[in-house]
Amino acid sequence: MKRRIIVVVTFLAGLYYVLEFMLPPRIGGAPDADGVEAATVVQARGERQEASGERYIAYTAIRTDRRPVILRVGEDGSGPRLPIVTSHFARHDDYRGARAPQFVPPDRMYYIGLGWDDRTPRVCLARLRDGRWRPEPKAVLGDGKPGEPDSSGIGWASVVNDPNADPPWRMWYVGLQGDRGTVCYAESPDGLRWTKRGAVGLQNLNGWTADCVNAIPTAEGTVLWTLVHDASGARRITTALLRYDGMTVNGVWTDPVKLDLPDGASLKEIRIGRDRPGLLALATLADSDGRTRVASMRPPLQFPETRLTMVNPSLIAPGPKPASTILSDIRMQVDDILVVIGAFAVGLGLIGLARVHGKRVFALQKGWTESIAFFAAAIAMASFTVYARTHPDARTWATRGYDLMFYGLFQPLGSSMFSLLACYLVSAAYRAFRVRSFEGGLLAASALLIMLGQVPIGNWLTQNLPPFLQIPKIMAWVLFVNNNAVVRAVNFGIFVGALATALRVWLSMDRAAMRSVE
Amino acid sequence: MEHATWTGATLLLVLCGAILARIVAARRGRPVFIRRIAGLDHLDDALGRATEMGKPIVFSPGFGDLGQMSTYAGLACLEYAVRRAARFGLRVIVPVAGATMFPVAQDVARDACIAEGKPELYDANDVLYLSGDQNAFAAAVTGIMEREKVGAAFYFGSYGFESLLLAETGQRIGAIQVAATDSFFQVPFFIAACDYTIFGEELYAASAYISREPTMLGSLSGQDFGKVVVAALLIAGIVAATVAQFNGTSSGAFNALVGLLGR
Repeated sequence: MKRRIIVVVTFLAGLYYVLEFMLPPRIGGAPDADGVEAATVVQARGERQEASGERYIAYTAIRTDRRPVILRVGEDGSGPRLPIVTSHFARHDDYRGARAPQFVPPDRMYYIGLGWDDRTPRVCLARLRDGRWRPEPKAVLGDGKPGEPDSSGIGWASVVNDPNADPPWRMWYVGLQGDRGTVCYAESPDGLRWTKRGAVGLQNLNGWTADCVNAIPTAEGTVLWTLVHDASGARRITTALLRYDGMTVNGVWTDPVKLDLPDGASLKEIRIGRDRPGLLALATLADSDGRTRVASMRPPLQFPETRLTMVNPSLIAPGPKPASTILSDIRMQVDDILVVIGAFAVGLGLIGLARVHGKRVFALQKGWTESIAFFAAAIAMASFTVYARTHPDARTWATRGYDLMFYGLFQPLGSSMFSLLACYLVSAAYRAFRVRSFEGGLLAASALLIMLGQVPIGNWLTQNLPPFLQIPKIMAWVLFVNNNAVVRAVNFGIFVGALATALRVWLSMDRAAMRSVE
Repeated sequence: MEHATWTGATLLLVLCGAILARIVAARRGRPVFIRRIAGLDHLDDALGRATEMGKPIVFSPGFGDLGQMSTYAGLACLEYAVRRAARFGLRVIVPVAGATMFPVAQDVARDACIAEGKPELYDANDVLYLSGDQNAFAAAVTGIMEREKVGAAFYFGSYGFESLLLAETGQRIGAIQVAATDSFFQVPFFIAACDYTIFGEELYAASAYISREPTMLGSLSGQDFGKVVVAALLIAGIVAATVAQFNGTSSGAFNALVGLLGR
């Protein structure tokens, strides 16, 4: 009976953890259940290339348990929500998601791809072919070198195409350097090969971090709408008229633009583009619970713009929430139960210790004096610790006793034990480096190489030789290529072995694990 | 919390399925070949030498607790060692670092003595719960080894820096030492100080190797199949990365197979 109960409990506990790991935490729901962000109006050409093709909104769909994707929906926020750009396992630059689209007529959509390597954001491009948006295999603009304003990637991009200008393609983007966002500028002859020109001189934004930038060509020049935030998280929008070089301000700006936001909502991102009539702003608003939605706003027609007027505060709202599988929701409680069981086991260990040492003392067996020392130390340490933890501000003989036993005895004794390693290392190294066989020779040679490669004399000895004969280079190859390969091979074996053992324990097939109940 | 990707879940199911299928096949009598593991062959030699010297042995099932799979592998070997020691009439000292492991280690040692028909050889005082602190555990075990002048020492399980403290003490007192661990960074210390060292997956193979139970043998065979699957994936990844590099369709170390496995 006891065995059966333990087998069943072990199986059920294992089954819970297996299912919790294997199943997604949430099932069903819309791909934009957790938020709708960064939208752009798309005016796609029809199949015969006439301008009166489809008109819809492309936006970023957020699900915390999935990668962000770009969906489309009717221009009034109604109709089916269909994916138009999703990440693909064979594409490196938007492997972890696509967001913040910007439609550039007639057939391009620039968006921010989250790359395979640590989700570094970069500018990607999808082109409309045969009625479908097809992403290019590689990003068109990536992160900069260390020290540059876009060394951590590009968070937002705004592309302007004017065939009559030189160059015809221009991009203003938010370069990221850690948490800091800076408005930068790039040019291109074809919208594919871009040349970075550096940071835009927005003197009025010193001390602010840029989140979004939108460039609108006008008769007076290019107007830059920039959303920025300060250290407290307060956001504001500023506009500036740029000179033709795209990097210096013409001396005219509006700061800040007045916003007409609903109660409880905060502005997170904004995409502004040309639309009939004038301009249309699609703003990402965050509610108090963190969910985001897209609102439409209208700026005035003439620069300098001073106010954004709300048109529709909930143009695109998040889709239906997914259902929870419950398993992940109760994970903390299940973990707590195991912690409590583990705490009982500590008591079990203490009882075992007390039994062993108690017997020894009562029977006056060999080592009974050490057993008395054990009881004295355990009782003193437990008493002092309980007192010190329950009276953290007290300064009495009991807290001094705790300090003496823990900081004066326990820790120094532990450090002494650890420091013995130094002597033992020398002794072990002496034996290991004695060359008694071919393998021993190899070990000694590679150890010598690794040591020499990490000290200045190793570099000095071979600095005049060709690079492939320099000790630091050889050391790096041995350590990071050969050694890494071996470590990984061993780890693969350990993983498979641990998996087999775990399976046996879970299914109560392991004799050692079941020993105590047989 | 971490959740399996669908490719990870598929790989896990394939490996688990293969291990279970091999266990079932082995239980039905299908023969399983196991290659020789030198360190385990010398387990009996070490016990024999300790018997000749009339000294006790120390068997440490690692510094881990029951939450670690290596501990189960160590416990399985403990059972074998205690049975063999009981046959030779040897005293086995089992120092334990985990509170949850303490009763299990006691039961393993007692049942092994009973299975050999020598229950009187089991002494509860020889299975010792010492400390969950690495320094204290190392101090206690090295103290026992010095005082008892053990003839052989076995370290089977996971270890931290205490590995060198234990193994060097054993070396100094002239004990024959066999170590088996999956703690990769402790392997050099064991190799330098022990007579025989088993590392990595061989720790998990050890219990099957010495017990020769069908379940264990089948599990070991399943492990080998798992390694073949992992090796095949590695080779496919290398080929895919190389081809992608030549075609210029990949940037850096990225290739479609790596991307697929990340999903």
